[in-house]
Amino acid sequence: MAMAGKSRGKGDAAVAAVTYAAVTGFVLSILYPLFNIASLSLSSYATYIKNPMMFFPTELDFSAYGIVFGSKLLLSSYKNTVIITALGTGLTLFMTVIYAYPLSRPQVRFKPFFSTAIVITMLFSGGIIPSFLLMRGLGLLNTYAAQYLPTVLGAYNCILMVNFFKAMPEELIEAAMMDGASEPYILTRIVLPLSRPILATIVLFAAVGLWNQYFSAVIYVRDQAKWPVQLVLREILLASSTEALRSGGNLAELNAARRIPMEQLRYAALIVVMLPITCIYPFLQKYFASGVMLGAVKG
Amino acid sequence: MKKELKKEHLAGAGGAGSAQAPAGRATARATGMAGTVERASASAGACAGADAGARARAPRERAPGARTLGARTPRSQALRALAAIVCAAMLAAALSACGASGGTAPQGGATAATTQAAVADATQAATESAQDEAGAGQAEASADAAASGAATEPAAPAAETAEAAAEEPYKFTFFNNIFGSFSDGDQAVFDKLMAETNTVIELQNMPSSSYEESLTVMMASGDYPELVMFPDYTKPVFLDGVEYKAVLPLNDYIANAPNVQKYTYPISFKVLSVMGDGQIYGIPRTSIARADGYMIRQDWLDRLGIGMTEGEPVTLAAFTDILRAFSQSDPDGNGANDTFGLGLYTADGNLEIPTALSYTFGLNGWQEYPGEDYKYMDPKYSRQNDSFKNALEYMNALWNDKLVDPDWPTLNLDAHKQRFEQGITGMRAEFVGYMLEHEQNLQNVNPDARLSYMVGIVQNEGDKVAGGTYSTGVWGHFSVMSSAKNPQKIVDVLDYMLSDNFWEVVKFGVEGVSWEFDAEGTRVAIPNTGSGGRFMRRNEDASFFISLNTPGSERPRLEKLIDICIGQAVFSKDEGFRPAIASDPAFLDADKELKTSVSKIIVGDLPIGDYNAVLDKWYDAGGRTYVEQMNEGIAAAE
Repeated sequence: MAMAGKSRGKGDAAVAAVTYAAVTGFVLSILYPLFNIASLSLSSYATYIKNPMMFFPTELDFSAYGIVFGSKLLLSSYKNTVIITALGTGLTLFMTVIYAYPLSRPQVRFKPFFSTAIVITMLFSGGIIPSFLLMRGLGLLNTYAAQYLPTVLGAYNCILMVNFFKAMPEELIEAAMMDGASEPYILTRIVLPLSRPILATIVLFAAVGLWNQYFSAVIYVRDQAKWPVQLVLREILLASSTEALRSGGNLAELNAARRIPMEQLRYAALIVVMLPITCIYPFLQKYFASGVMLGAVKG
Repeated sequence: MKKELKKEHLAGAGGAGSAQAPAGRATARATGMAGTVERASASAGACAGADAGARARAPRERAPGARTLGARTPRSQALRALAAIVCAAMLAAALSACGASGGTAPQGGATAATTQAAVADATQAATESAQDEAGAGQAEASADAAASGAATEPAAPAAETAEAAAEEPYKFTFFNNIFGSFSDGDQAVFDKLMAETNTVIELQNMPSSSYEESLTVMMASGDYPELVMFPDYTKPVFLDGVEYKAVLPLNDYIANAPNVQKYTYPISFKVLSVMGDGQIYGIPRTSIARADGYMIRQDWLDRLGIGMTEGEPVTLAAFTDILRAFSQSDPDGNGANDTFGLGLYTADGNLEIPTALSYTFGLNGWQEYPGEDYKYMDPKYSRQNDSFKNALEYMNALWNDKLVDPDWPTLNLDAHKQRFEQGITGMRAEFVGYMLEHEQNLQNVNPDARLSYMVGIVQNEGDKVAGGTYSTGVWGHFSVMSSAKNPQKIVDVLDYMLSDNFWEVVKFGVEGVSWEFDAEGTRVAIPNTGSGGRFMRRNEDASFFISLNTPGSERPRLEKLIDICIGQAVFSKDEGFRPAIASDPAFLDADKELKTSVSKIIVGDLPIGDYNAVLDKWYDAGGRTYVEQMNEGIAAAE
C-alpha cells in the first residue's frame, strides 16, 4: 500500500514536473518575443546589431521613443484611434443592447425576422467596392464615422448578448414588472447592472477590434490626417518589405538609409501602440470571472 | 374598478404633454410601485402571469394609483418623444450630409450646421455620429465648390472680372503613395511648389503598404482624382483605366512641357504608350538606368592582403577567390570561422541568380540570339543557350562550398542587411550612392570597418560589364485623369519640378527645413526632415540619390562610381512588356514551379541536367504562348 502510494506520488511528481516545464516553456515562448521587442526598443542601433536576441537591454537608450513621440503623424493618428475607439465602443455597446434586449424578450413580435436579418450580415457582405460606394453615398468618406460605424452592430455580439439576456432569471424581470417598472427601466436598472460580464466582453471585443483595425481607413480615407495609428504602424513595420517590393529590384529606389526606419524605431512604435490596449485586459478580467460564476449559480 | 383605472390611464396618455414628465418621474420614483397596471394593459395580455399579479396588487394601490398611473404615461410618452427627436435628428443629419454632396456648397453646410445644433441636445452617441456626418457633408461640399470652380464661390461676386479668376490658384487632387510618412521636408517642398506654380494640390496620401487596394477601389468607384500615381504600367488597374478612357492621353500636353521631354528616356515614353496608338498615357517617375554591383568590406580585403581597384570590374575567378577567402580565411581576425563571402536575401522565398552575377553570365533578359526557335529569347527560357545553366551551376558550387550566406533561403531584406552590419557577410548588392551611409552604420558597431565598391564581375580580364535587365527608366508614373479640369496646368506643374528653377529643391529639399549652409558654404542636412524625393526626377542627374550627409570630399568618388554603373546599363528588349498570358492562373502555376525548380537546383536538390525537362513542362503549360506573345510584343515595339 505504502509502496503503491509512494510510486503514485513519484508518478504525480513526474507528471507535475513535466507539466510545469511544458507550461513554463509555453509561457516563455510568448513572453520572450515581447521582452525582446521591448528591450530592443530601449537599445541603441549598435547594441541591437551586436546582440539582436537580447532579453534585457544592456544599456538604455530612449532615442527611439524620442523619435516616435516626435512624429506628428504618429501622434495625430494616435488621437484619431483614441477617438474612434471611444466613440465606436460606446456606440457598439448602445446598439448591441438595444437590438439584443428586445430579441431576448418573449412577448416581442417579428423576432424571427429581426434575428434572421442580423444573422444574414454574418454570412454575406456587400464586398469592398459596394461598401465604398455606400460610404460615398452617405458622405462618410474621409471621416472617423467611416472607420467605426460599419462595425457598431455586429451579429456575433448580438447573439452573445441575446443568449446572455435569455439566461437571466425571468422571475427578476417579472418581479420588476409587478412593481410597475417599464421596459426601459427594467433594462437600465435591472438587466444591465446584472449583465456586466457580457458588457465587459462586448467592450473588449469592440475596443480591441477598433483599436486594431486599419483596413477601413485604407478604403474610406484619403486624408493622412484621419489615419488610425494601426495604419501608421503598419506603414512603419512593413516599410522595408513594401519598399523591397515596390523597388522591383531597383536598389537605388530601395532608399534604405533614408526611407526605412531603423529596427529599434519600429519596435518602439510597436510598444507604444500595443501597450494601451493590453492594459485594458486586467481591468476587465474580474467581470469575466464573475460571468462564469453567474452561469454556475443559476438553477 | 380596474377597468375604470385603465380607461383613465389611457385618457391620460392621450392628453398628457411632455412638460408633465419630470413630475411624473418624481412621483414614480417616490412610490416605486408605479406602472403595473399600465404594463398589463400595454402588453395586451401577452403576459398572463403579470396580469394576474397586477390584479392581486391593484387594490392596495387604488388610492395613489389614480394619480400615479396618470402621470406614468406622460413619462413614457416623453421617452418616446425623445427617441423620435433623436431619430429625426440622426436622419436629418444623414440626409443633409447627402444633400450637401449633391446640392450647392453653402446650403449643404448650413443644413449640416443646423442639424448639429439640433442634435446637440440629444444623446451623446447621436451627437457624435451626426457631427461626423455633418463634417463629411461640409468636406464634400467644399470639394464640390472647388470642383465647379469660381461659379459656386459665394465670396466672389459676379461683378468680378476674369482677372480675379486668373489669379485664383488652380486646385487639383493628387492620389499617391509617395510619402509613406509625410515629413516636414516633403511638406515644405510641396508648399514651395504650390506657391511657385499658383496651385493648390490636395494630397490624397494613401498608405504605401496597401496602395494596390486603395488604387483598385478608387478606379472601380469612378471617383477619380485629377492626378494619380500608378506604380506599374503593366497592371490591369492602369490598362483598364486607359481602355475606359479614365486616363487621358498626354501627347498634346507633353508637347508644351519642355523639361519633361528633355529629362525623360525616350524608351520611357515608348513603354507608356500602352495602347499602341502613339499616345503617351503617363509621365514617368524616372529612375536612373544602371547596372549595380556590390559593396565590399575593404578592411577585410586589406587584412587578407587582397588587392581590388575600385571602379574596375573583377573577373569571375578573382571574385570567387575573394568569396573563398572571406568565407574560409577568417577575414575579421576573430579566430572563428564565422563569416561568409556574399550576403543574399529572398523576397518571395525563391532563390535566383543574383542580379550582378547574371550580368556576368550574359543574362540580359530578352535579346536577339542566333540559333533559337524564336527570334527573341530570354536565356532563362532557352533550351539551346547554356548561359542560364552555367550561372545555375556556378551558384550551386558557391552554395555547396558555403561561399554565400547559407541562411539565404530564409533571409528577408532586413535580416540580410543586418547580417552585413553584424559582420557575418562581407559583400552585398547595393546602389553605390548609399554606400557611405551604410559605412557609417557599420562603423557604429565596428569602428574599423571600411567599404569600397565592386562595380561588377566579368568572365575575362578586360571585359566590360553590361547589364541592367528590364530597366525602362520608369519607376511608376503619373497619369492625368478624365476628371481634370485643366490637364495642361497639371502637366505644367510636373514640368516645373524638373525646371532649373525647382530641380535643386526636388533634389535637396527646402533650405532651412531639410538643409542649411554651414560656415564653408556647403549644404548640411538637418536630421529627420529630409524630403523623400519620390516625385519627378531628371534622367541625367544621379547625384540626386546621394545623401546630403555624405561629406563633400566623398561626393566626387560616389558620383564617379554612379557614372560607371550608368555606363554599364543595357536596356532589355522587352521594355517591360507583359504578355496577356502572364495573368493566366495556369501559367502562373507553371511559372511558380519553374522558380521553385531554380531554387532546388541552386541548393542541389535537383540536378542541373533536369533543367531542360523542367522547361519542357513550362512550355507545355503556357510558356510557349508566353514566349510567342513576348516575341510579337517586341516585334511590334521594334
